[in-house]
Amino acid sequence: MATREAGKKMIMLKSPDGMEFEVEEAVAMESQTIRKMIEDDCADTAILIPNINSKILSRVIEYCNKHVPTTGATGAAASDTVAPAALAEDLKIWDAEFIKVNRATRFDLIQAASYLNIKGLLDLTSQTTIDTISDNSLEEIRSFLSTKNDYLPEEEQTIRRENQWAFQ
Amino acid sequence: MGAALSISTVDALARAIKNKVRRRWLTAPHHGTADWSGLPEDLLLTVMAELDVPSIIRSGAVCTSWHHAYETFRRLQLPSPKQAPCLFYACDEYGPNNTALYCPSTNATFRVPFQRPLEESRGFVSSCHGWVFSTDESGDPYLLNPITGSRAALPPFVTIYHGESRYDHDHKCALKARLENRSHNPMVTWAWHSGYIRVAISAATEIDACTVVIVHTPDEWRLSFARPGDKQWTLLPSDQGFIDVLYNDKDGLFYALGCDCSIYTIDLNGPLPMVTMIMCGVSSWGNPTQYLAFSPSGELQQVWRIWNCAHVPIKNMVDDGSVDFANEYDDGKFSELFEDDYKFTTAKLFIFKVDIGRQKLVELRDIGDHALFLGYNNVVYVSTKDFPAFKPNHAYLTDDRFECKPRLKEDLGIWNVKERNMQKLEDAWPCMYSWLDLPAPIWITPRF
Repeated sequence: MATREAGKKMIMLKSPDGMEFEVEEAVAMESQTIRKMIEDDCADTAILIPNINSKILSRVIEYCNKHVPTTGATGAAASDTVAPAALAEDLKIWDAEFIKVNRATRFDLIQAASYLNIKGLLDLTSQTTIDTISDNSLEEIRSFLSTKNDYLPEEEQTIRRENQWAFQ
Repeated sequence: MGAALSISTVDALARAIKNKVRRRWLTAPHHGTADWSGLPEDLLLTVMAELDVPSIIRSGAVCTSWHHAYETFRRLQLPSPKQAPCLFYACDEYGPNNTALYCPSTNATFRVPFQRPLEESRGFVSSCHGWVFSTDESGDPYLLNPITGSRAALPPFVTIYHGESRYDHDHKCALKARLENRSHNPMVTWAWHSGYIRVAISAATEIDACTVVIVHTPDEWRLSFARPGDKQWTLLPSDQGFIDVLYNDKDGLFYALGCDCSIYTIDLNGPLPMVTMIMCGVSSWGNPTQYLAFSPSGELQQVWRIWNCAHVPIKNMVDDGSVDFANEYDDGKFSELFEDDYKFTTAKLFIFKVDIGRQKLVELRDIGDHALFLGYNNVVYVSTKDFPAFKPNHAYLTDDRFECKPRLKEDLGIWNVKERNMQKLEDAWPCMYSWLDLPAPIWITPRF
């Protein structure tokens, strides 16, 4: 059973490191994975989110809180009163600040967004990866993303030779 | 910087990936180490699908797990929606064995291995999807994907009029080809220079399973089709001459533009080809070069490129009541612009919606947030919201007067649909090398 607070249905999310986060059901349901659990009645008093530690889960909740469509006292969507364009612009600026994190956090966020199936967050985290790959040389990509070059020298030579033109 | 991911793209891709890829955690996910080699393959595929083709290749070389994802991406033939048309051109700087691929959307130039076609030949005849249709030293046509180096042979040019079978006008029985009626003996120089006019390919992914339709000479401009591996071209039944052909993957039909701007569908899916007229002719005037196009919403269009040698106003070129124009045009000065036989340039560009119900062409005032690419290629639209390097409501043109001596520097440009004027491509993109006249530069949308 989920708890109720000030008329809003609340959900408890638990990280594997033992932290608990009480969030509005609407916020939690920004995640399609959690939405499915709730709709299928699999959600008990608390939902354990495996693989996502409390630090990342709190950032994810922060993102969902910002992006959940807010409703006023009458139930009308807030976007009825605030110009949608201004709202979208505000969110874009907020997103740009939100994603200014180190690459370790970004790596965790992209995986969390994928596991929890939060489209907006997945787009946001993917986009930074896309930009990194688009704008940089192979060596720079490896350095920025801290990926280990695990090719044998001759393997790398073959791969580079096949598409030499793309590495200029 | 790339534009924001479009939701529809991510949705479509997520579905495609879900259907085709079982999630494979390449390494057990754990936090704090942030080795991006461990990114799950489905996430990497989502990222790759938002890159252009050169970036996908680059990302595939980062590490072994990313290379595995790259191979999956290519095996599944996933699309790259972030790939805009590029200019493929020969230049002195890269010599005869390499061709320049300029990507305006990223302002990068790549040196792609591609043997320059013979000096005497027209070079790249046409491009369709990521394939270039060209001719070898015997004049025989082939398809080549310059990005992957894949090549598919097409039937030799001598079979265009030497085929064993030919369909009659009722599409029923096959007749022996009547060789005695040929007005030309096929010659290599003809095949090199002016044998092939336009090319359409049914699908880009499985090239061996695709169908290729060409508009070709000699005699009238006719349509023939073949599949890679076929021994000969098969002539399509029609009394009509044709000037363009395009494939529509939404309905699986080819669309051909007649010399009088009539439009036909060609169904090659059954045992016998079916050619059906869907739009009557509106103009028999030879000056404009006309193209078929599909708008971003899938609407059938005609694009007319009027050359500066036109001596009559466009309204006199069309049959009465067959075209709704958006403006009153004063075309009187066309003939003044035309001073030299060797300086054909584009004087005007008209874009028409084809209203099949009313059997009319309706001129469009603009093409909104889109850019149009035309020349020796199947007409392509791109969204300028997705590719801000291109100007909205503009058409990007390469030269397209193969029957005359090429004057390529004269007529590569960016046509402003609203202002009705043209900027030279060399002024717009100054970082490009000076392109050679032959082979003529073409637009190509790279793909695997």
